[in-house]
Amino acid sequence: MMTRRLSLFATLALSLLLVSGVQAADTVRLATTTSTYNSGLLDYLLPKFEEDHPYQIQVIPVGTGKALRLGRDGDVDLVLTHAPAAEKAFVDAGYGVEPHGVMYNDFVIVGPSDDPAGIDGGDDATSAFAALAGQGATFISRGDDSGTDKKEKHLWDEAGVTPDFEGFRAAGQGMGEVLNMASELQGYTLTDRGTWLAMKDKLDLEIMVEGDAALFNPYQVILVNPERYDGLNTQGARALAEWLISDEGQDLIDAFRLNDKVLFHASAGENVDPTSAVHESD
Amino acid sequence: MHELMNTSREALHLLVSLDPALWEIIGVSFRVSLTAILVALPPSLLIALLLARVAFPGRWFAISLVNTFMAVPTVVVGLVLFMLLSRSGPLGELRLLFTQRAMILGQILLAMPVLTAMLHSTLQSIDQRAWETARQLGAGWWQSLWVLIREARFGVIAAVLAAFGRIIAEVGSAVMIGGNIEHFTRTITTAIALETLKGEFAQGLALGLVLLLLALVLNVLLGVMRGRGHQTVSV
Amino acid sequence: MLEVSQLAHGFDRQPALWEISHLQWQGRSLVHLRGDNGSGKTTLLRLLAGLEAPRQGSIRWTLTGAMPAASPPCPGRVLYLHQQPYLFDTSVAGNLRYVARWHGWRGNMARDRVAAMLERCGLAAHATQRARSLSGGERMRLALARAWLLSPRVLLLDEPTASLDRQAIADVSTLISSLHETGCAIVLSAHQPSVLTERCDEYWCLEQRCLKVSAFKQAVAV
Repeated sequence: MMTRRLSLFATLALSLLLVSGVQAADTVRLATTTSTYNSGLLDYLLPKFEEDHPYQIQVIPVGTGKALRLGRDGDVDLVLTHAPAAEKAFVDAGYGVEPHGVMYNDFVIVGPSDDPAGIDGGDDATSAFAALAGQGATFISRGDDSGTDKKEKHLWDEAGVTPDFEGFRAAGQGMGEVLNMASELQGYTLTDRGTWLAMKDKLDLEIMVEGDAALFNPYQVILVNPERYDGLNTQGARALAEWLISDEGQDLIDAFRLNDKVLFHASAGENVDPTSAVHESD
Repeated sequence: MHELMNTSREALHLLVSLDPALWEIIGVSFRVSLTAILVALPPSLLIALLLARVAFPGRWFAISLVNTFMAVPTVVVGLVLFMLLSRSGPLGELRLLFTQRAMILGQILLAMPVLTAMLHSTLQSIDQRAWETARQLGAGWWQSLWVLIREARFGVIAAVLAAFGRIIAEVGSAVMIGGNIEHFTRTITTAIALETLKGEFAQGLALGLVLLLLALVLNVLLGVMRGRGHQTVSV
Repeated sequence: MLEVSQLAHGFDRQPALWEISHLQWQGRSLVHLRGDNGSGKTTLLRLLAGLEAPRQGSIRWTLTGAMPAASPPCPGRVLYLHQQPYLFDTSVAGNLRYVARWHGWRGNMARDRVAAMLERCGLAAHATQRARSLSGGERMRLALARAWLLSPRVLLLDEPTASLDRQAIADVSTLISSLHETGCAIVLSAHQPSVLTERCDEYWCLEQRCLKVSAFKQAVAV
């Protein structure tokens, strides 16, 4: 009896050891933005990838700035981010290789339903921002150097204002926290549509401006340069990147729905010129 | 290693060059925490005196309650205050959420259990004869109370330093009810916690050094206080 | 004058330590309160000082004379000193200054009275020393000085010489004698005879749960 139990334990322990050993070798670490993670897209995509591939993906959801930093420091195997200019710099500096456009979604400007700044219904993000600054409206900024934050700074630039007006608040926090703050303080903010759709039921806010080409938001996947660090799982990272831009991956992205709304539009191979969509100043 | 050296050098540079953004954050932290301590001290002293000196039914329960509150995680205090101060909460009309006042409120709630518990034990250790002697020698009620506090002064200072150390170093409630808003509610800890999200480690490290230095100063002060407690004083 | 009648006291639900059916004292003499350890000397002194309320019976002080009359509990008139006097955690002079402040003395008046009292009790050299660093005899002298500053009418001393060496007992005894000579009545408890108890005019003895009063010389004669 005792022996059988012991051998059972031994088998169990051994198999666990083996499994964990396999895991360690075939774990792929992906740094990505909170927007892809919070929307549920990765929870929907990754299990399907893992079914057919011998890799397990560990997702580290952070802001774009931190994601690229993790890539630069060799702490992850690949990144999935949405800040074209920063990504270009990342690749140019040799930190990353094989950049591929994967998909895009868009940003929206949201605000309180009584709309004190009177920007509701517009389709020009730049003039809406100018109006917000001109009236000193309460505006909650991410202020965390994320892709959304970079987009917002770019829009202030385009509108020709320095964001230091009366109601401007830089929170230095994630999209969810900032949306909550905007709701609590009844202010405006710029958000990606995914987080907005996921949270809007709990918020006292409405969409003010959407559909402007300037609010376009492209995502790229980039492998961390394997020549810079030993021990990166480049093979696994490449498998994931190629799967994301394969027909299978792209179809799945297009089929993803949040609250019955399309969130991401697959765009691999469309060769979108990032500079035509987003002009960033670094 | 090279990276770490660079970040450290940059952090030191921020500190010695009196970087205005850095010192603004430090200023907010000190303003909020000092105000919270000053507001929390008198009621904590009174509660501690009550617990230490007055026998009333349920006293042991009140003491356990204070000790329990001391163990409440800061994020729970943050959550409860958030719900109270939220627009949909009972105190939403005050419009306090994401202001320094809200943070002060949170820190008062965090400081009071620490202050009360430490003051209680220090006041309890003061000899019963102190009160009797003062009263016998003609001190009024408030004068005798003041004597008790003066006799316990090293313990009182220790309690204040410990509570200050706790609230200036806490991050949970500061983020939740302060919101880390630049120029308004961004404190040392919320900046450290959230600056790293930007991949900007130098400022975080500089602020961390400030906290470390503060801890050192607080402990040296405590040591000096205790030392003075054993030497000749000429007052 | 002190009048005590039907007085009894004890701890919690235990039987009374003693019962005093009647005691009358003019409040002039130097009294030695005798009794074995645990006979309730401290309790009696604390009751007389008004620090505790008796279980039954009454205590009535009617103090007349050089000092204004008052009734207990009466800070400054009837003063109780602990066996180990509590000294405030400050300097020797600071202990006296506390008392001066509580009585509204300010400026030169306070300073002069404190200085004079320190001189009188032989503590002038220790004025700036920390009170708690004093020796046992000096501590008792400081406690007496602090009390003396109030010109008390009656002093109740709990074992003032119990843990002192010979020289300290002599110093403290001298001080207590001079305090008595200024018109302050004194009751002091002591379970052992000493140079101090020999100076007493009368003695009260707690034995077999009763208080017996007699003139000291008589007692010696018996």
